[in-house]
Amino acid sequence: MTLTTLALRNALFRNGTRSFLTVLGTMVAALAFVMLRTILGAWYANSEQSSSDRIVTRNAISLTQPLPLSAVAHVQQIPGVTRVTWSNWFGGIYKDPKNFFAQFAIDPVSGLDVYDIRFVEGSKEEFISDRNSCLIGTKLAKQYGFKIGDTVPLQGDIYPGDWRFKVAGLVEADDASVAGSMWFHWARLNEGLPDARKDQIGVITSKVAHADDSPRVVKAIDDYFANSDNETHTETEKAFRLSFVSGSAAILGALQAVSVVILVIMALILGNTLAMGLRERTAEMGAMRAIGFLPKHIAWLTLSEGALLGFLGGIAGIIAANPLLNAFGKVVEGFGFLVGLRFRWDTGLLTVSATFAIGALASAIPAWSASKMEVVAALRRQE
Amino acid sequence: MIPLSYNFRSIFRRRVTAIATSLGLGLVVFVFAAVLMVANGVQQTLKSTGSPRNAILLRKGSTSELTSFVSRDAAKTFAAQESVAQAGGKAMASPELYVIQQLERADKSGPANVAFRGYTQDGYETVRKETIHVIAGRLPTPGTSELMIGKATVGRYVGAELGQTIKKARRDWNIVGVFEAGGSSSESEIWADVEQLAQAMNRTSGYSSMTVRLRDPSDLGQLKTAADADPRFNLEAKREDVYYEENSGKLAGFVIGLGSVIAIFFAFGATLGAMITMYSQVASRLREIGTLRALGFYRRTVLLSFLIESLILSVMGAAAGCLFASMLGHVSFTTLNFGSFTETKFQLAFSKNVAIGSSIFAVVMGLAGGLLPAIRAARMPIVEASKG
Repeated sequence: MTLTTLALRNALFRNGTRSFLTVLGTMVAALAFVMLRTILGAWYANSEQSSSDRIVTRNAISLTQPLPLSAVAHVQQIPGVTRVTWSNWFGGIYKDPKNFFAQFAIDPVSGLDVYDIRFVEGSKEEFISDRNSCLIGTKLAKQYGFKIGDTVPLQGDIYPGDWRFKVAGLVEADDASVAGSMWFHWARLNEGLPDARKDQIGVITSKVAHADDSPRVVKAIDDYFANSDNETHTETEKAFRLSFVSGSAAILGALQAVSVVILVIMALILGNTLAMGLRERTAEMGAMRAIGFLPKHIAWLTLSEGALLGFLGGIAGIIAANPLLNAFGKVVEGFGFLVGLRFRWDTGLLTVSATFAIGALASAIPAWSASKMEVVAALRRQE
Repeated sequence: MIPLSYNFRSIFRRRVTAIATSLGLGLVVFVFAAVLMVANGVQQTLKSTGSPRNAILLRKGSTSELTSFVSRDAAKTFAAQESVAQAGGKAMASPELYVIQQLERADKSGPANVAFRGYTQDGYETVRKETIHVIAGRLPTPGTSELMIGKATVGRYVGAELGQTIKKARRDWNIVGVFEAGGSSSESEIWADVEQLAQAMNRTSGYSSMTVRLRDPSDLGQLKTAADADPRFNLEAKREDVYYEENSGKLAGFVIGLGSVIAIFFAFGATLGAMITMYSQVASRLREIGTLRALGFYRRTVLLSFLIESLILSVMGAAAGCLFASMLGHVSFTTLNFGSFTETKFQLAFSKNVAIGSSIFAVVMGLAGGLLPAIRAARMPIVEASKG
C-alpha cells in the first residue's frame, strides 16, 4: 500500500458520513463558484465576441441622442472605412415588458453585410424586398416559437405606437448576440415617425480595411465631426459593448468578491474535516512515526487527503453544474440579459483546480502540526 | 435539563473547530445580510426620490422619463387642473426635461451615462425646493448655461466640481452649485435650465415629464381621470413615489434574484459544515453521552442538549455576520440603474429587520445542521456509548 492509497482510504472509508458530507459541502461550494464565474464570464462574453474590424460611431452627447442620417455619407468618405451601415435601437415591448430582447432597425443591404449575418432559414432576397419583414435570431425564434411567415407585434416605447413585422428569415452569426436579436427595415421605422423625428439614426457601424488601422480611423471620424452640430464619439465595437458592462462594475465587483468568499467557506469546511480526522488519528500517526515514517510522509498523507476530498467535491460540483446552469440560463434569458449563459469546460476546469488546490491548502495547517508532533506524545494521546 | 455550562465548556474545548464552524456560518449570514441591504438600498434610494404628495405625468405606456414626452400645451393644460395645488397664485407644477449625457469618469474607467434634468424656475420654487437643497455655491441663474450638480456626482466625473466647466453639446456649462436631496437618486443627477438644455439637445418640442403637487393626496384619482379623458396628449398620471419604486423593480429584482440563489447555496454549504462539526462532536463524546444517559438523563434531554450546542454555534455565527454586515451600513455604491439607464448612487442601510432576518436564517442553518447528529447522540444505546 502506498501513502497515496492510504490517504485515499483515510479520506473515503475511515468515516463515511463525514467524507460524504465534506464532499457534498465542497460540491455545493464548487457549484456556486462555477455559477458565479459563468455569470461573470457571460457578462463580458458579448464584448469579447465583437469583431475587431468594426467600429461604432454615436453622438458624443450620449447614446440616447441621435445622429442625422446624413452623417453616414460623411463616415463613408473617411479613408480606411470600407463599408458603412447604421441602426437604431428600437426598445419595443413584445406582449409583456418581461419579454425583453434586442430589436434593431437596420439598413438591410449594408447591415447584413457589415454584421456578417447568416441565414439559417428564409432568404436574404425576401427580407430585402419586403420592407414590412423582419429577421429573428435563431435563439430568439426558439424561445418564443417564431416561425417564417409569423407576424411579430411590438409596442413601441422610444418610438410609440403599435408595430408589426413579418418574419422573413431566421439568422445567426459568429457573434452570439445576433441569435438573440430581432432586425427589421430602418426605412419602415423612419416612415412611421412624425416629421420631427425622421432621418435620425442611433449608431453608425463601419468596417475598416485593417483592424490595426482602427485607432487612426476612429480619430479621423471624430475629428471630421468635431465642432459640428453633431460631434461624434467613435470606438471599436469591443469598447462600445464594454461601456455597457462598465456601468454595472459595482455589481460585477461584488460578484467577484462573493466568488472569493465561496472559496474561503470551502477552505473552512475542508480544513475543519481534516483537522477533526487527524485529531482522531493522532495515536495512529504516532505509531507510523514510531515504525519509521518521516514527518514529510505524514504531511504528504494529510495533504493528499485534503486535495483528494477537494478534487472529488469539485468534480461532483461541475457534474451537477452542467444541467443546473443550463436551466438557470433559460430563466435568466427570460429576464432579458445575459443571453447564452451555459456551462463551459474552461470554467469547470478552473473550478476543479481551485477545489484541488484549496483542499491541499486547507490541510496545510493540520498537516504541519501532525508532522511536528512528538512521537511519544502522539502515541500516548487518547481521544 | 443538562446544564448549559456543559455545552459552553464542550465548545470551548474544541474552540478552533467551533470558531471555524461559526465563521463559516457568519460568512453566510454576512452575504445574506449584504444582499438584503443592497436590495433595500436600491428600493429606498429610489422610493425616497418621489413624494406621495406629488403626481408625475408621463406619456402613456412609457417605461421611464427617458422615453416619455409631455408637450408644452399638455404641461399648461394639466398645470391648470383643479387637483393641482396652488401657491401664491402659481400652479405647483414642475415640467422637466430628462436627458442622458455621457461624461468621462474621473477614475478613467470610461464614459458613463449621467442624468441631466432641465427644470423651470417656477417648478423649482413650487415643487422641488423642499427636497433639493443647495449645500455649496448657489442656484443657477435662470436662462443661463449654469448647472447645479447632485452631491453624488461631485468628483465622480471629469469636471464635476464646483466652479468648473463641463463642455458638452457645444456649450460650456458652468457649475455654480452642489445640491443634496436626502440621499435620494436625485443626488446622482445634474440640473440645468430647461430651455438651455432643450436647445442644446435639440429637444425644444416639449418636456419629458411634469411633476405636480396634489392639492390633497386623494386627488390623484381626479388627475388620473383627467389624463385618461384627454386623448390629445396621451398622458398618464402616477403617484411620484410609486413611479420611482416601480423604476427600482428591475435592479432590485435582479439583486434579490441573484443574491437569493447565492445565499441558498451558501446556506447549504454552511449547514453541511455545522453538520460535520456536530457529528464529530458526537463521535468524540460517546463516553460522555453514555455517562449522561447512565446518570438518568432522557434521550430527549441529550437531543436537546446537542441541538442547543449547535444553536450556540449558529448564534455566534449570526453575531459575527451581523457585525460585519453593520460595517457595510455606510457603504454606498454606484451602478447603472436598469430602469433609468443612468448611473445612480445607492446607499446601503443596516436595519433591525436585516439583523433579525439574517439571525433567523443562521438559526435555521444551525438547527438543520445539528438535528441529525443530535438524533444520533440520543439514539445511542447506553452500553455501546459507555464503551466509547
